[in-house]
Amino acid sequence: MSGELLWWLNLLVGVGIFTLLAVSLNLINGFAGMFHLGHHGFWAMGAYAAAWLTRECAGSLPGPLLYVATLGFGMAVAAAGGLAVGIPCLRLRGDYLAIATLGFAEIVRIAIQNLPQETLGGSLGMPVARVLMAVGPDTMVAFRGLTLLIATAACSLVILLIRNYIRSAQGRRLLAVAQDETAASLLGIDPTRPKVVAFVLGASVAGLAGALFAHFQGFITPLDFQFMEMVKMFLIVVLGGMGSLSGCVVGAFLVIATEQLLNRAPEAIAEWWQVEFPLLLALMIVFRPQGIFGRREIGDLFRRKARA
Amino acid sequence: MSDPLFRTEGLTKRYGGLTAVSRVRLELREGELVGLIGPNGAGKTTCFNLITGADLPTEGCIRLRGADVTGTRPFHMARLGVARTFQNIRLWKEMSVLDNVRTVCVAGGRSGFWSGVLRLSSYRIAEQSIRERSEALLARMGLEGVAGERAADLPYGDQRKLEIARALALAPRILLLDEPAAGMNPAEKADLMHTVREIRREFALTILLIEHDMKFVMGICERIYVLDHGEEIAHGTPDEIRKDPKVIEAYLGGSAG
Amino acid sequence: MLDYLLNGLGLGAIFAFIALGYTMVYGIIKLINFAHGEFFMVGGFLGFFALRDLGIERLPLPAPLPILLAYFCALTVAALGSGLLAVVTERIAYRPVRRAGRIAALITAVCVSLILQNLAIKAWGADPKAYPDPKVWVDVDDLPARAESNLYARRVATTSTGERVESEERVVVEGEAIDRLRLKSEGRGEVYRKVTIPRETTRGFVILALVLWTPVLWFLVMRTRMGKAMRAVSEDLDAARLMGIPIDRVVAYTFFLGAFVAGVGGVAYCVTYGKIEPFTGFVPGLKAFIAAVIGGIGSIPGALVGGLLLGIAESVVPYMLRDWAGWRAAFAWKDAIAFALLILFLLVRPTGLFGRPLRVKV
Repeated sequence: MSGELLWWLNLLVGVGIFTLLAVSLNLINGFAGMFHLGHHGFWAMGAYAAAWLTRECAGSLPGPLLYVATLGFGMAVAAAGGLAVGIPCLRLRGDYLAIATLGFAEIVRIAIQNLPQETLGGSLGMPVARVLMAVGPDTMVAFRGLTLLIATAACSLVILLIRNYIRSAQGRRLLAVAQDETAASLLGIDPTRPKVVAFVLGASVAGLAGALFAHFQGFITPLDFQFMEMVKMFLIVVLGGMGSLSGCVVGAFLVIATEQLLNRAPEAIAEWWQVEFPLLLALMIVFRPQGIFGRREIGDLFRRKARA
Repeated sequence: MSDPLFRTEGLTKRYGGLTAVSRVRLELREGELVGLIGPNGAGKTTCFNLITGADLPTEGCIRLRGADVTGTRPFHMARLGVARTFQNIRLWKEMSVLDNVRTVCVAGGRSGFWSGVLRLSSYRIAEQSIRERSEALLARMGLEGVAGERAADLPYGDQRKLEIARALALAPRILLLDEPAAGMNPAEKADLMHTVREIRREFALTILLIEHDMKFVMGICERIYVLDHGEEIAHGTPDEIRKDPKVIEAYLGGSAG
Repeated sequence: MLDYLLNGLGLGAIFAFIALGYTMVYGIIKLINFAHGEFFMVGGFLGFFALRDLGIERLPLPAPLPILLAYFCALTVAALGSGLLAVVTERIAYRPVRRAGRIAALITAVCVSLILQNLAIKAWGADPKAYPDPKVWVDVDDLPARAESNLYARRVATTSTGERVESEERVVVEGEAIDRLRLKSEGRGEVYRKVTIPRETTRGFVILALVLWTPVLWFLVMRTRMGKAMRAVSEDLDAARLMGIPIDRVVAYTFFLGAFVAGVGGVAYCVTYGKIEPFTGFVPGLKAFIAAVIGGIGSIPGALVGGLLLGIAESVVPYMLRDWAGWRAAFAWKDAIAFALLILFLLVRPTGLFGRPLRVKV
């Protein structure tokens, strides 16, 4: 029984983390219209920042306080990364932006691998001390449950924040710039500012997801942040619908659950998951590019008219 | 004689070997309604692009109230009070009609990131005033009934009217209209002529418009510039232009006698 | 320093070969074919199998003809195979998406790339394989009394599961006296010695290939009907279609040509670095794309220049950083340096060296 519960808790925490990644990616790709292929770089930055701070300050701060501090630190580092990448790359056109952001994520990965072992663990990875609570065989359920609670709270807050942002005056400007940047600038809207804001916001949420991930796993390596994870995030966003936040939640659940279930599936199917996932994404993009929800939110299903 | 509100001198634009606009001199006085006409490819829209900062002039200068604003970036130019509509409609198609106008309105109060996200009262007050202004503009253009519709769903004529409403939201001093009557039937055009005169009066605008419909242009413009192959070939009142042999030749390719 | 420069030139020629494929496809259908690196990888694998299994080097011809023929064969197989794969991929994956918009096409390309990589893992295993060194076969009867170098023989064994496993066995050590009778009694009628191709030779070959290929490509693009069709389509696809140009055939031809040269590049790359694995295509593919971007994506001269520049930069910049600026670990970071150079370059010149500057049509 406990094994099943543990499995479910693991799954749901994964859904939570990928929901955070998906909504932030959706903000940048879907709402702001920027083709961004380096989101896993921000995720990695957040995770390693949190891991580093945990190691440096373990013992000098009470556990839970340190935990929260690392979440903030992960967000800040990732946000700085977003600023560093966003500002120069903003005037790049779609395809070029994609390759520039992909290059950035590669730089992050190479940096993590090549920095001296003592700093970030290199290719071998880096352990993350359990500071939230003591974790052992009998407390595993409690640990996962607590992490799930935190992840859920984080998701709710972030989704609320992004939703409010999109519907605010600044959000309208962002959408206008995304749809027609030239027209927007000719009508008095600064085209770069909303994009930078969206990019940095998206990066910091990815950093939050990274910090949560690092603490949950207890050990991180560069292999956790490979390009395949970026594909997973993209699949979630496309599946849920690029203009929909609730779509990200549903999409995250579907994708992560599928991935976990595939691990239990008969060999024949499970072995080929790395072919099946991209295939699924390709089919989706061809036959149902608007995903499940399109631009709608789950609340709209209960209303007749879709929000314009 | 006071300084004109707006002036270009020697405005020139070359693309590689092609000269799109050559030494064009335009002048707008406060409150005027001026037309810019010419055969296709004469360089009219290019002039608009140069004036609004979308393109950089190769030579020449642009003066707003005497100050040199050549090379100003588009969104600064807009903030200085120069608004425009577009020949190929460039509405934000996925957004609602109301939002198209609201987005351009600049809030008087605080519209920063956090005040928006947290819905602080300063934000909500600013939003309220923006909403009121936008709804008034829509009503002015007869679009209040479709405020919640997606901009892409509007009929063509209404889309053109929405473009004007959106430009007005900038509270500009100078309004550039690029073929506002294109695709409209005669009844709509007459309606538009009336509207243009009205908004000029109501919002204290100076208007420069590009149009192909001669009746429309002659009907409302006080002065007209005629371009052909990037050069100004005539300038004057509608009556003068009508009789100008160079204009007739440019349009008809031969003297009408 | 000169050595690094020449290395860079050789590497750059390989990048140029791959970049050509990216740029031609982009010029035609405005798609970044993320899977192009995988065409390169498959070319490398095809060359691997050709070198290992075809046994061309056994042909009774005067040396060094057998080895040259073996490599020629490998290159041909790789190039044709890659080209064919590209045409098939285009037909089943890209043509349906052509109308679906840029993002859809791009995502499909990423997916194809991943699918090909993972299919390669399934088919050939994820572990790197050493690229075969060319072998010079000698009949045992023709052996001298004393071995001038190590001699090897091929051994075929059957595992407990019934699989045939081939391996090589060193039967004579350099300097040893050769016992022909013993060898024959053990059933080894032929042995071979291995020849390692020096770096400079591969380098020289690749550069020479590029130099020879450039006028051929120029001819194909400028003087043949298909080439003119390609250029027309890249200028304005709709107009070209209206003029009766068979778009589907032109696209297939472009894909074939691009992958053809990528296949050549693949074999050259694997010979230079001595190994092949399913992930071989990812990083060089990315770098070749960078090269195409630097040169101005869509521009053929751009791809050539961009490839050479990137190759040189990748060789020389870490060298300079290490020896002149004292950064000892510079070479480990060379990939990151390449990416950083890309980003910096895009800031200064967003459309590349030969790219047409974007004009905003208002």
